[in-house]
Amino acid sequence: MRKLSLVLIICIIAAMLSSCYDSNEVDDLLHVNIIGIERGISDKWRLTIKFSTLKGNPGGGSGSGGGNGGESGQEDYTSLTVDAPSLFAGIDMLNSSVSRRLNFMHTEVLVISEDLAESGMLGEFLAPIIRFRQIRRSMHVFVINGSVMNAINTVKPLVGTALSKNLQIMVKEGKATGYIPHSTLQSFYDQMKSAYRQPTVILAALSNPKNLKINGEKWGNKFKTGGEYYADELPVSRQNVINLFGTAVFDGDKMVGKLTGEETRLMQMATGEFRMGFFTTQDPKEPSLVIPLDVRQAKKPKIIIRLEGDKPIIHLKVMLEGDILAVQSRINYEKPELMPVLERSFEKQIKDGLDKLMEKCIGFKTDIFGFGQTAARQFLTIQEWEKYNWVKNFQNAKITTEVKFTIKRTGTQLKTSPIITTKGKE
Amino acid sequence: MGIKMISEGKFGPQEAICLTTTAIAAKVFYTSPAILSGLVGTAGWYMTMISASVAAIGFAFTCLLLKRFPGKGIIEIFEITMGRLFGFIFPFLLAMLMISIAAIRTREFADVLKVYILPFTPTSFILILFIGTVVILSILGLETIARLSKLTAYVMAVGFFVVIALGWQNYSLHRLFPILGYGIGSTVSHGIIRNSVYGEVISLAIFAPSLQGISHIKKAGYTSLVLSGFFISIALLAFILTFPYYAAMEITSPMYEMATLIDYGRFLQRVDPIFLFIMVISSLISVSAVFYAFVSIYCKMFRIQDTKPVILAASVIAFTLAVSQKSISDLTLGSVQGLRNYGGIVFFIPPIISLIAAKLLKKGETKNA
Repeated sequence: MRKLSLVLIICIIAAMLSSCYDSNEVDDLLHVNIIGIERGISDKWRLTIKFSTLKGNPGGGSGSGGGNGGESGQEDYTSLTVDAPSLFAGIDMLNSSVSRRLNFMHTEVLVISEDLAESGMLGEFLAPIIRFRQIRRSMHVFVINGSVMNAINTVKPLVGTALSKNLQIMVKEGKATGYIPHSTLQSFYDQMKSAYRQPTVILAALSNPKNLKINGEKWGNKFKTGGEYYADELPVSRQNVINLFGTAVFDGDKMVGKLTGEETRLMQMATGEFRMGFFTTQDPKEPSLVIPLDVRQAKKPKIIIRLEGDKPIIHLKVMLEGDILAVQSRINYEKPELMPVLERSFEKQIKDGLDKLMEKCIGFKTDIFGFGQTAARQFLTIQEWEKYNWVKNFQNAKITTEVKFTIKRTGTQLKTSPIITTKGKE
Repeated sequence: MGIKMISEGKFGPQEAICLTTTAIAAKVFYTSPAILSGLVGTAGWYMTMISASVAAIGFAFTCLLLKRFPGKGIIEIFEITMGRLFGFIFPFLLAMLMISIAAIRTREFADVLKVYILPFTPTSFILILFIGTVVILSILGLETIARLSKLTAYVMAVGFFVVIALGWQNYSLHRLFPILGYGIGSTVSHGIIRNSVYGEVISLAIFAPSLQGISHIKKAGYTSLVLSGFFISIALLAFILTFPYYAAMEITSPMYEMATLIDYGRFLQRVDPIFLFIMVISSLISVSAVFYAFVSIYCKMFRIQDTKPVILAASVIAFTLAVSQKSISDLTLGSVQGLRNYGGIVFFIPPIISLIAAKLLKKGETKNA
């Protein structure tokens, strides 16, 4: 009997430990999906949050009833903006405007204005946010051109009605294209304080249909890979859809430059984070036409670093493999003797791109490739490593690159046959 | 003249291994890994093996002492070898250390819980509930605590490896470099000084009469040192592979943060409840073990047969010590560091002195006896 009562007491204690002080009813909390931050006017920071209004059906499906204009998804979310001296003051000020308590445990994205990122004040804002227990360090970080308040106000899910689901899938799909870097609050914060490398963040923008020229001269046969845009230049037709394209480059907590989508892919090839992506290369025998390739990283890149005083000598070898997706010229590149021609041509394209990117980043004085992570192996102690000051010495680096590309498969066709017209075989 | 024993029940080496391993390894869930990063940088994961080795040497001397006095616990042996005065001082110091560890660990647990999970719950409320459970376990006795530790050990081990394995996505090998951290000298000196991390192994000597002889004690002691060294080293390795050394020293509970970073898409993320389960159960067993060790030492010192009044009084002391910590900074940089740096002296030096005294005074069984 005594033992039974002791067991009962333990059970009661266990039940009590399930947090009576910290308990919340499900609808007591308002889960914020996006936090936006930019420089304020009435106070130091302008904080914008976007959250579900709990009126519609943000779990997916056909959108909510009511609303103005029937734009599915937009009316299920609303945003609030406040100018505040700090993040926490801002949260309290916003809490006084909503009938629920704001909760940030499910926040997916932190959006930072380009203006703030370039000001070098970002470290001040990140210090409290990283300490905030509700914020998960796995949330993604975007840098956006223009007003964060306007962007968050107008952004809406393009598919379905759930904004957070859309954002999660967009970032995940970014890994399948390589046009955006992996960037979470954790990685950004670590890289900001890192002695090994400098931070990179996803570049975002609201789509602008003006980028898609309706009238003008037709393109013709000029060559473009498709990735030479920054997020705000992407020529897509829809308005107010968030585009993730490219990379914001930081020196510590200060944004010093941008990479296009194509450069972002090359950067990831150098860091070993590139998974896959469709590339367009010029046909080596018919330069007016292109050959699309499905490219993957075959192996992690090989990085050899030799330190000559303050001058690091870096050799980067990138190993790629891929499949042919189409051959517009119908030249039989599937043949073993022609395949190397295409491989070497693509290798040259990537190598040229990498060389230009290296130059660009040396110009930024930022090692965003994580070469320092390899260099650190040459130092035995942290004191020696920090004394060398890799982040500073990277600007003196001499970098050579090498690319190895192998075609593994030729898609669903083993060879390309010519087209037959009334004039005969082409 | 021998000390009249309190009845503590009997348990086997498996229970003893689970109890000691959990008591030692639980501290990896709190603030220690972050402090360690500040001290030795990237070298924490192998520095702990130096600490375990030093503790094993200390435990070897304790075993030699226990071997001379078969069937007796270390508290009785202190009195036999050192006389009434020193036979009182050494157990007293050990008892003070045990109650301090229990109180500080409870407070560390409460603070980590409050920082991450229960921000609005008063600290005293968490402390009362936690210590209340420890009191109940202690009233149920050492055998119950030992058997509970064995019962939960397998589940905790599975949970631990699940969290470590799922954290794979965030590991990066380069974070181990520079491999010597702040230098080999710093790593070795901190490794030796912080042997008290493994000091709970001495509880096997306190509970020696509950185990079946010196061979079981040796087996349980060395196995639990190896196992706890393995678990702590793996946890520290996973943690340093996840967080670079300069960021690692900033985090209150690196292991919890590590669990929150696990994100395999929309269907596998937020696995922190697994971590919480391991942390809560291991903390409970760990604190119960050291708390009961205090009760046991105290009862043996003052020849008290009934442990219950001592348990209740000890719970008040533990609560008072826990609640008297001014802030988490005082706790982690003051009390916890004090215990880590000087605890080893109280854990391992008195048995060595006692062994020397026994040899000199020719007390206890010699090899040829």
